[in-house]
Amino acid sequence: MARWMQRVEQALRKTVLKHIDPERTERAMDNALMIGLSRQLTLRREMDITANNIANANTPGFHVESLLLRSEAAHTATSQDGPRDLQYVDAWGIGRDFREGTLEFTGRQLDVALEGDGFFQVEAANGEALYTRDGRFTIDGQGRLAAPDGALVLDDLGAPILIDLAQGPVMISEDGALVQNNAEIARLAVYTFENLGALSKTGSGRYAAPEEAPADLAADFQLRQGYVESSNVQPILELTRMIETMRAYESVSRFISQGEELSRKAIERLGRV
Amino acid sequence: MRSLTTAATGMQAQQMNVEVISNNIANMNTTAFQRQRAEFQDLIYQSVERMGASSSDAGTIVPTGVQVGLGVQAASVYRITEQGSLNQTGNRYDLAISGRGYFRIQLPSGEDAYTRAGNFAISPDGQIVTTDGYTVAPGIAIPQGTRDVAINQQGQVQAIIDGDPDPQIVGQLELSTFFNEAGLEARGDNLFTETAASGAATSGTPGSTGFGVVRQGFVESSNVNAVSEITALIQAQRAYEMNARVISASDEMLAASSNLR
Repeated sequence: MARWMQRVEQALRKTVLKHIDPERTERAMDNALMIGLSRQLTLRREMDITANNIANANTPGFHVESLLLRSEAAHTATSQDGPRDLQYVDAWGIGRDFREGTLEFTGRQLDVALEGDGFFQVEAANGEALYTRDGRFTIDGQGRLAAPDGALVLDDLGAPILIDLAQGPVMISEDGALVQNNAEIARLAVYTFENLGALSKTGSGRYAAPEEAPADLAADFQLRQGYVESSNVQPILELTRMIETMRAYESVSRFISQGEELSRKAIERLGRV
Repeated sequence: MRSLTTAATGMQAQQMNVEVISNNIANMNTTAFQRQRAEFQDLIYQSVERMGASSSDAGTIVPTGVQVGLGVQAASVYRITEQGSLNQTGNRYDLAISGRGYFRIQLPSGEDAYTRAGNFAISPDGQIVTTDGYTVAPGIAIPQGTRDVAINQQGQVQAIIDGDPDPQIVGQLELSTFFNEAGLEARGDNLFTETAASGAATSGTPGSTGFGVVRQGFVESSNVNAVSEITALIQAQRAYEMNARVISASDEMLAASSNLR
């Protein structure tokens, strides 16, 4: 079933691309069809993204995403003055809403929520530094602070944080200091980025930063121990967006079949002469 | 359409969430049961248009890119090792741990298991055992003719024997702690075994630094909070419904396409 749908998508894409091809000299009769298809492709992508938002409505630290669109001028061979009258729709980028989600009380000692801009730094299995706002930490078998899947949480010097819970409870202060028995044992690092759009998602609530977007130590943040930041997905908005997407898709379909009906009638009438 | 499978991962995750919540509710009255929480993370992302890729030969780059997420996954089912409240029973072999630590239990296979459920009893040969008859380490025998048994907060077991005015010390209970208690493997019957994630057990006397104290005549009740479980159940159910709506909407979109002709 899924493969069948992929094939349909590929076929759709091929036909659209063929008509965007600047080498084509004649103006296709079925421009309306092609423009409709370009809209349907982006609507499908929008649906995928909305589905991901809804699936992650209960994932702490998740940020809502939406598709950004642009119009792509159709290339035609005839030279024109002024704006081109045919505009295809094309996906241009992903917009992420980095607004904070609500803080949810869990009472767990090692749940940390971040208020204000910033990300915790964790070390993935391959040694790469990744960034996350998901502060549900735990302690691994060797006494190091880690994410649930074992990725180590790093301190402000980029080193793992060792905690021995037998020495007493750990207090996490608002500025990131881990305090045990009135002594600071480590400090959680919080980083910010000038251009959040340059981050790419790697799954598990983590972001990878490209080299051209260096991480800076954040100053303006507050940590809340015993809380997690829930996702900032607003289910009502997502559901209405989903219905909008679905109806828009249907109306484009109807528009395409009407266009087809038109050309069928044209052929019939012209053929009669 | 990825949205079909994406919503399916959402439904699977919420189903698992409900399973965990129902196990918590079912064990609301289980001695020393520790509630669990299903933790979710987003799944991998597919890059449709990679950020940082050059978008023209003039050297402009794609600023944000298009990454489409493929849904949600369960990261772990975490056990919340919070102290449950202590209930007085008056039974002299009911022991509750107040603070950190687990009793060590010797399984018939020779392995060690750990438990906080201290509703113990006496075997026919006078040993302190669990309700399943497994010996509580290090193995304490109560002598014959014992009138009463007193167990103090430091885990010292004293027998008061008929005709002897002084209580007799017959053994010393020990507790075990772990770096990461949540990493212990639950094997049912209130028992846990150690894993690489929990780290090795450290034994010690109750009441010493880093160990809890033993209270005789009490049992620890489960730390399940009925109200928060029910609200979590409602949330999970609604999230499940929303994901189902996404599937039917995606289906309608596909139908619209296939009805074109």
